[in-house]
Amino acid sequence: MKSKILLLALTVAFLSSCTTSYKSGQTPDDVYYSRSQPKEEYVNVEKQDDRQYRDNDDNYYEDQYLRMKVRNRYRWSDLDDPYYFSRRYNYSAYNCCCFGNPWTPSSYWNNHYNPYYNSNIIINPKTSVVYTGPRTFNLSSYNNNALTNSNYSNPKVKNNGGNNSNNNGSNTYSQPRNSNNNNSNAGNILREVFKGNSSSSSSGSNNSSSGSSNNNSSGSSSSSSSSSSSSSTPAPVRKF
Amino acid sequence: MRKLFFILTLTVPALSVFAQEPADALRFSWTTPGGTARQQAIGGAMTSLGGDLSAMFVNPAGLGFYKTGDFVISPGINFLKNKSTYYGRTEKDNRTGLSFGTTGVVLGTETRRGKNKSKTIAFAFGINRTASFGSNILYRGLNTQSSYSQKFLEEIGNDGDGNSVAGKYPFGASLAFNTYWIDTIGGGTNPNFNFQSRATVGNLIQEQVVTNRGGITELALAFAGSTNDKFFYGGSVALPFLHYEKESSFTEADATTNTGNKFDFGRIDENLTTSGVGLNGKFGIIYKPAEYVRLGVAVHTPTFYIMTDRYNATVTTNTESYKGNLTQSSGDFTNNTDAEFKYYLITPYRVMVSASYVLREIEDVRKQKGFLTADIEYVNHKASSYSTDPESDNTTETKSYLKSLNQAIDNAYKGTFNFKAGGELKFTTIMARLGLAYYGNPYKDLGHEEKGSRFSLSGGLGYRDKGFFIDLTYVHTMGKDVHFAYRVQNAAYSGAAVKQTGGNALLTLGFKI
Repeated sequence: MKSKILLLALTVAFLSSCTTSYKSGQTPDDVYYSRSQPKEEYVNVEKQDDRQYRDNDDNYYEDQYLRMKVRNRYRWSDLDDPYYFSRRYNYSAYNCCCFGNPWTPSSYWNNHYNPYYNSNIIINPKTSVVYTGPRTFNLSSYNNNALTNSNYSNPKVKNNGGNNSNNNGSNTYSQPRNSNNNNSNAGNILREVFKGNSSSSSSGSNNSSSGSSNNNSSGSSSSSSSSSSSSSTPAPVRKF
Repeated sequence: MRKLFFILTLTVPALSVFAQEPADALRFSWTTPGGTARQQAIGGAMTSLGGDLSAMFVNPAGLGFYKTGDFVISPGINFLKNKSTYYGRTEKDNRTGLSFGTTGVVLGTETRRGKNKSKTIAFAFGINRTASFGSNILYRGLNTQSSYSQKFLEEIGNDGDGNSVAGKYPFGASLAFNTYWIDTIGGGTNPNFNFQSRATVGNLIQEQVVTNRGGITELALAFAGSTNDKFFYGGSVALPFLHYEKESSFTEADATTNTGNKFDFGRIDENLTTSGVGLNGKFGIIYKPAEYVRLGVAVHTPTFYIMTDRYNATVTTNTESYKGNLTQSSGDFTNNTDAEFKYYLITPYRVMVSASYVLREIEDVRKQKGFLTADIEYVNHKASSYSTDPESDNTTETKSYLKSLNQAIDNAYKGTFNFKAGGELKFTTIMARLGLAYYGNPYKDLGHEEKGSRFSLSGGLGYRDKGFFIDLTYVHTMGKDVHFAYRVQNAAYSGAAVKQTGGNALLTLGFKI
């Protein structure tokens, strides 16, 4: 998290530096009208700031090196030696085959904790997909059939019968999603929740049903199915 | 058992198949796109206004107004409350999550300057959340009309072979049959069985819990230009990345305490993951017939998606003293792997027209006073179309089913108009904005009160000075929708009426480059 904040801060800092040409004067609003930045300004920058040019990194470092050597010929003479870098860094603590150097191929970043380390590749024993068909649905139910019109009663009419009617006129409940968590006893839990007696809590920080339960049911039934409290057993495929 | 599994794996892929339901197609076309905070504050209208990075996802011609460059990032946070009413009973559920709007960069410049011969070009690269599927839905009700198990009975149709029913429908009817949610009718013989539901149809407490996650994130590259500050044109190519996850759990329980009626509860848990990548184009023009006035037209091509569904199902049934509490998963038939189906989906085209009044279109920001803008968008939701992937399941049965599915989409949905409008008042560096949007009803009424709409009110503030700008917006959304736990052909059923209330707080931070 801290690294993300740092990255964001660096990005903002970088982008802020891009806006230098707009620090003074008005900031254009392209929704209304704007003009391109005058190109002359960039020319002026180049003329005035010739000490800072870095048109090519090689040229830049060569210039720096020449300036340093003019100041002290002997101190920087090693830089003329083409083997200087290889002598200095070969066999050093930074280039051995040990774990000290984080940049060597056998280092920390390439050890077995690295998911991209390509030694001893373990191939995920993925099993092949058996069923490659689409999901099932009875599309005929999307036809406007007469049967539903004849039997249909508006579900949004309150106090639609049964034990979900409410004496105080409010039919809104705020029970948690609790019957989702217990397969073996789902019937009992659902009946309890439906009556408004449950105190189970929901799960997930971003995923909740609000509030506590309300006892608004006028129903008097109590669920007590004895077999529903047993755990579920894997069902075999039936044979005939 | 191994022999049985072998037989099943041979038979399952060759079976007559059904496929996605029309609701899947609507999910990917009835979307509410995100944008920058400035655009969202004015209701999302951006077809004729231009000058904002979000134009690349609405009307790329709007990028032609750029003669400078912008870099913007748009993080946000949203919440959504669902109040669902099912058979007279209302339940609430909610969800909070992070979001992001348009983020990217646009670079514009004048290639030629002068009276009646100025030209500009602009390029943009950006990413945007064009749809968010995140929501939690919960409803319960006492259903005196039908049972989920009747869906299984319709799935097996006229199949009277008990062995076939026990293995041929591994994501629904077979699981229900093997756990005795549905059963044979006594007196029959194989292969001429008739089947019945063990559920206490007419007196069932039902519960549906759905958790939806994911969205569509679109990556786009846009080009725009203008001539003489009068005619603006632009186009973009986008790659939408779609990811959708659904966990659904439906339970129906005997509403009574009778332990002798051989049914306590039946329950089906389903998991679905849909992922895919698509391709679409957006093209548009903006014309300024007079000073202050802008007229815009934009067309979004249909998005062509290559999709993959992965899904599984588990059924648990308690038939009390009859067979007890039994459970079975589709994995028992599929070697514990999810089923996988690859297919193509084409989502509907969109056409939008718009007008804006901008006061004043002048470089001096002190004289820029504000604007009004309004969009009308047409989306033909019934134009969604599924087809098979030739490299995957390309059987005649699947092709035939997808054809039927496209017909069902035609029957279930219709074209709609969406309206978006908003305005801004500008006080040199500070801006205040208001907007609204209305997304019309995509449903045809099939007799079950299918209807839905969304309405949003938005407001925001902005500050622009010293080379950067910051916009803050709050969008309040109210919506109506309908959710069906199941649909059956031969019994009465009902959907849950879902009322949605949501909020989205969005911040856009931008830099002139």
